[in-house]
Amino acid sequence: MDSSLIVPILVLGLGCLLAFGVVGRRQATIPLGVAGSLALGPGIAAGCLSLGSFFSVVAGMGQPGLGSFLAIAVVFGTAIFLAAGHRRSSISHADPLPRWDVAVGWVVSAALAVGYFWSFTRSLDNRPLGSYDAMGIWTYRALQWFRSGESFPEIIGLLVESQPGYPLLLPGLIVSQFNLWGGESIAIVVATGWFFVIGLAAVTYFAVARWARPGAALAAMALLLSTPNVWRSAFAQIADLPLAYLTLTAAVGLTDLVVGGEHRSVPAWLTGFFLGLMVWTKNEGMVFSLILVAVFAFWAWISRGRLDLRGWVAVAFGSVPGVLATVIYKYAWVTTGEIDRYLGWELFSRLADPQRWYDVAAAFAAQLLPGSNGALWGGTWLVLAGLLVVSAIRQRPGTVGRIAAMYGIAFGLFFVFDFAVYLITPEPLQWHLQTSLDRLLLQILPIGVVAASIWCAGDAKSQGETLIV
Amino acid sequence: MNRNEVEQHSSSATSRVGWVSAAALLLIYGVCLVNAGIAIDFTRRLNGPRPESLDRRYGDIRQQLDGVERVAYASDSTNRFLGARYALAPTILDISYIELRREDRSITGYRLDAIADEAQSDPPLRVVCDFSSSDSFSTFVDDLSAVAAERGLRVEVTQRAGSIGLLSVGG
Repeated sequence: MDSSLIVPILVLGLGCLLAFGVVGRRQATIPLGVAGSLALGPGIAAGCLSLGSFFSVVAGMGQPGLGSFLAIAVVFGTAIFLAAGHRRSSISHADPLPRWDVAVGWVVSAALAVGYFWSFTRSLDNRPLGSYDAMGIWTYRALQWFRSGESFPEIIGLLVESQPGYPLLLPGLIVSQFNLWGGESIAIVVATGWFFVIGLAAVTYFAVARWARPGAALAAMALLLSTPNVWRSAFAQIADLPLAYLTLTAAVGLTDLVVGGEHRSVPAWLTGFFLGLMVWTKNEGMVFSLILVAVFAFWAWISRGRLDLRGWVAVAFGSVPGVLATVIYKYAWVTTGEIDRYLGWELFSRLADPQRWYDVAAAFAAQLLPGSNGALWGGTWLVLAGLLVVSAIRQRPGTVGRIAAMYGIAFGLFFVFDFAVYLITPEPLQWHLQTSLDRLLLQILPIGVVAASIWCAGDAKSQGETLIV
Repeated sequence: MNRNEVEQHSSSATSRVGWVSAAALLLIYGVCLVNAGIAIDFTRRLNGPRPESLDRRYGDIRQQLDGVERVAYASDSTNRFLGARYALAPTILDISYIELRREDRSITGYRLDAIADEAQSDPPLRVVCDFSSSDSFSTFVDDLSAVAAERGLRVEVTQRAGSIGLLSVGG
């Protein structure tokens, strides 16, 4: 193994340690505590490193070294331990006893972990530079950044050359690890995929296990991780899997904000931090974060008739680093006019073209139904459709039902947004569909799997509610 | 129903739900195994360039471009373009991609004009070439030379190894 792998391992470990301080130690059961730490740790680590690198360059301090990152970790860790308190979350499953479904779930999960590790070593040997999107955009921009020197205008002058409108979470995370290692390392680039695979697996378990049997949470996690497109993307070194992970993590935090009351296990400011990271990851993240905030704020408003203003202000405060970095990068230094291209007068003629509606619908159907693209998704969308049918005929009142419904509504709105993007795209439609639809659907799949899993297997005994089974 | 009948009914309903849940979970895990098989097959077929191979391919060109701030790139393949750009970053500070017509993969006259325009505005312009065949390379040099000649510019092949090379377009 490449010795530079020590960097992503240490960074990930430090992130999980910080997440344990704020989330893990407050969970009612050990599995939930471990899942909570692994769920939020990768995002905390990725966000601190990427944003730390960016702001360091913006402030004229050059590319940060080990000392800068340790300072960030100390500041972040101190904030966490001061703010988190010691109350344990009241949100926990009432039946942590081992059962056959849990045992089977762990066996399947362990097998998947072995498969992912094999894929990691294989990728390192056979395709270390990742997909062509990684070579052309994400890793390429990290190389430009790292090789370019110290000054922000110089770095920005290079970054605008390749997809200038794309934000910098992933390149920043790679660059910061290069700086910690003291040189370029392809092993570090490939291993950066670990952050988001581990995070996605853990947050899927964490999101479902708090409201359903652990066996159902393991099944949801296994279904998601076994999906060929998720598996493939884990080693493609692109930003879609990170966005999928951050979106689900932010949704978990917002759920806590709305139903957790005084016993929240994810602080509102940390939820905001993840929303900001969504914006800092990809352009879709900006829209997804607004959709999540709108859905959960609406839910809070209709269920309680008021908003927890203090909590929502903390969310806004937490989102500042990611949003500010994006604003500085995109609007102060880079003018791409990409939104103007989408929203010009031609928008109406595109929307009025029935052939475009048909083409987009056909492309979505080809992805979702078994057929030419079936191998990308295996049987995952079929399982999701089956769970949706079960959901439709099964009543699920109370808090758990509303949580599942909010995840489901967010998933639906993401889906509508993706569909609309293709309707109005100024790019050649077929080319745009062929090169991006599988990645956009990947971004929204996890929240759909979690919604269906909570709805079908949700159990609110800990909430003292009676469910119709 | 008396109390015993109610308990019996409740117990059999719970048992039914248990069996349905068990069957659903086994079905999901079955799908997971099929999914994983497909994913592993994907992984087995992974293939792509390695950093060392890119270094070998573009190493000589990289040395010649040291300090050069404006470079164009010509290829008949997006993948080759990305590989070269990856290997040469950030030696190439301002790179133009010769966009190919998707339908026939031929080089458009407009882009040849664009290179000539660039060369005319600030000569000499270096052009990194990476084509799929030696014939394509030669065709490109001939076509570019014709367009450049109309502007009084000359195309010089400063380095060539098969289908990869470096041009200088200037006065």
